[in-house]
Amino acid sequence: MKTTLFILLLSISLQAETTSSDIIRFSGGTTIQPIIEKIAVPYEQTNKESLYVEGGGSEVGLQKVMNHSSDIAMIARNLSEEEKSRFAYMTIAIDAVAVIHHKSQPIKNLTKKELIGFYDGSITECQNSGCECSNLIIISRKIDRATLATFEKYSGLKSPKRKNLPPDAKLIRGDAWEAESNINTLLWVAGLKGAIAIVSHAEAIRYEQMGYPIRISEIENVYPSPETIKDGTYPIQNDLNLVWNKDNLKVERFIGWVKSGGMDSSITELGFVVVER
Amino acid sequence: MKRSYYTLWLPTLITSIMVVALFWAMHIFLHHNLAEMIQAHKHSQELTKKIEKMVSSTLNATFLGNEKGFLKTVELSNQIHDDILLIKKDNMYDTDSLFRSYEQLYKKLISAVSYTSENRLGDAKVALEEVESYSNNLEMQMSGLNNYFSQREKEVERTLFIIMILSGGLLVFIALFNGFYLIPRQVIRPLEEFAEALKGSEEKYRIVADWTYDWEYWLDVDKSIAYISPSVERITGYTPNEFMQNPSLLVDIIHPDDTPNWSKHVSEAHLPNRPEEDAQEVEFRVVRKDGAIIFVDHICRPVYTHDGIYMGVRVANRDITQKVAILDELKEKNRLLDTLATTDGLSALFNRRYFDEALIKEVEYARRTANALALVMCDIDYFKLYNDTYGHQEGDKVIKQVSDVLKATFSRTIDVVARYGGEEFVILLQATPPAEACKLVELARENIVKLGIKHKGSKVAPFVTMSFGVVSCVPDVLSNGDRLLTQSDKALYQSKKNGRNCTTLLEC
Repeated sequence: MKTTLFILLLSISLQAETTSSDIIRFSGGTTIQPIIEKIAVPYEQTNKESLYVEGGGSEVGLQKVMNHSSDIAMIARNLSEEEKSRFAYMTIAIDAVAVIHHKSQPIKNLTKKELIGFYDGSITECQNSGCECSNLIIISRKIDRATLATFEKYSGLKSPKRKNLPPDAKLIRGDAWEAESNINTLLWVAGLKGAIAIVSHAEAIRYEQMGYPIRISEIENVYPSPETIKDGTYPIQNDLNLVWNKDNLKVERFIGWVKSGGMDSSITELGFVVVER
Repeated sequence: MKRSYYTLWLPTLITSIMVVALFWAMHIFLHHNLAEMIQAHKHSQELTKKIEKMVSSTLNATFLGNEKGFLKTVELSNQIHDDILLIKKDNMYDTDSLFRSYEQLYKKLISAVSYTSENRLGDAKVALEEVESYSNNLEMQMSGLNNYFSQREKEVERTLFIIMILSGGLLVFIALFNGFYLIPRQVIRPLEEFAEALKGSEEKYRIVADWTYDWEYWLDVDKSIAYISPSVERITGYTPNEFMQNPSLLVDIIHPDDTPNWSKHVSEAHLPNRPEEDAQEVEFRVVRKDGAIIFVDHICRPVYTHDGIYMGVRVANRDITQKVAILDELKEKNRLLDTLATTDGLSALFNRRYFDEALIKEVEYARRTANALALVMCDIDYFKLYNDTYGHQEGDKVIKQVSDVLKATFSRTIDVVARYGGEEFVILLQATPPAEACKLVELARENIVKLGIKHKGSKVAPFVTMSFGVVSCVPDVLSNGDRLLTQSDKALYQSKKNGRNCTTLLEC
């Protein structure tokens, strides 16, 4: 084990960050990351720019755009009015926050009350929900993750890591694990039988189809499908936005390509819902 | 014996239950401790390898950036999860700390993966360093867990050894208790006593049987001799051993004239399926070894067990030779008595009592057969004078001589010649009409004359003569015995009136 670890650490150390003026740099939400990674090759074959993608979360992506270390931020949440006025943006798709658990847990449906109970720690005996609580692990997300923001908006709970919270704020339980990315969340849930987590619906679908032992729960008896997400029946959903500085002309060709529908098929293939433009 | 039987099996049952319970307890102990502990130990040993394998697999998948490669990680993690749960479920070890350590390792490992996938290589490097730290911590815990199981294994083996010693000791105790105390006291001694009692009983029975005066034997189902009493030698002259060696001797010594009777008896009586109480009896003669012939009374009956199984025939033979001889003698004496009762002692003719009975019978017979019955009454002429002249002894001689003549003359077996009293005689002649009767009577009278016995006092002749009165007819209602007597007496009187030494015939 130690040998493998050493080799990996060495390989990581030897990697160098690549920068170039012909590169469009993406950073932000890992929910949108697969879309960009998927279109990168076909885009580069017909255009002179290369696409460089990194995660880090929606808030990190926004910060990098603001300080010009990234060209486009991948924001997997609804934008505020201030953000809309300050930045150039494009809503490319609608995603949902799926509540997932390990496949061995016999949960089929969760009410909003039960979901909040799991996350605020008020439910510890969860037989009524059908799960086995002996090794219950609640997986939340880092505060810079859009998925958390969407969940907070739906549940009314707040991450205890957030600053300047009002005294009466209802908090997510302190021992909840905080996942960085979607893959982080998915691997935790798939590898730990007591885990319950929130994750991008499209990513959850993709990993479930790959054979990961996870299951997506219904919320208030509604399963997150393209139809229930599009018609708004499924209650926890958010926009997927691309945000860039208005003065960054390097991205115009790419945005034009997107507006022409260049990434729509990839969006659909990855399980997201394309918005009408 | 029944009481002893219960007192035997009750403690044996209790001790057996104790042993079974002990072995059952051992089984439970093994099942819940040793077997599961070994399984848990196996899980813990595999756990270490699986954790190492999972970390390697995850790092390889991360290096290759292969999402599908993480499936192996997930699979191994699930297996590790199950293994820890199994150890926890068996309550063999406090796995909470182990769980936490493993989950922290996994958490950090996947975080490193996550950072790598987001190209946050610096964060990934830090996370992997933490993975190494958690991994070392977990290895230490696994080492502790394995030591714990090794220690428990030794404890279990020690406890198992003690249980084996206790069980063995208890078994040895039960064996010794049963072998040296219980079985001798409850089984062997009563059996010995029973055997002695049986032996004594058999001895008594044999003594009784052997001292039986009768000749007894027992024929088995296959007709062989099961037993024969020593008294057979006294009765037959042959020893019991001779019969045992040659069973056919039982038949060979039977008198040839009695063999058919014996065969008939055997074919009827010496058979199974006959009632036990149905004794059959037969008498036969036996030719003794010394050639003497004896009479034997043979009684036999079938023998059955309590369950109704046929066991053969039991026989009692009794020597009745003396009894037969006494009976023969008695018959002779009875016959003599009968003779004395019906015979006149002087003349050897039938006496008057016999005549009176015969008269009734002969009259009835003649009436039934419609034959003429002749009754002759006669006496010696002037016999009183003869006695007076020659004395009574001489008179008796005359009566004897006359009787002989009458008997010789009326010699048919059916003729009845009787002394009626003094010098009077009566004769009954069946199926003899008057003419025939007269001829015979005349012949008798002449034969008397021919005797030529001197009789000086007779006024008829110088020798003894007799007068006869005869009646002969087929008797009817009126002519009964008395009538015939009266008429014959009249006829005799008439002969005397006619000068004696003559015969007078009258009708009935």
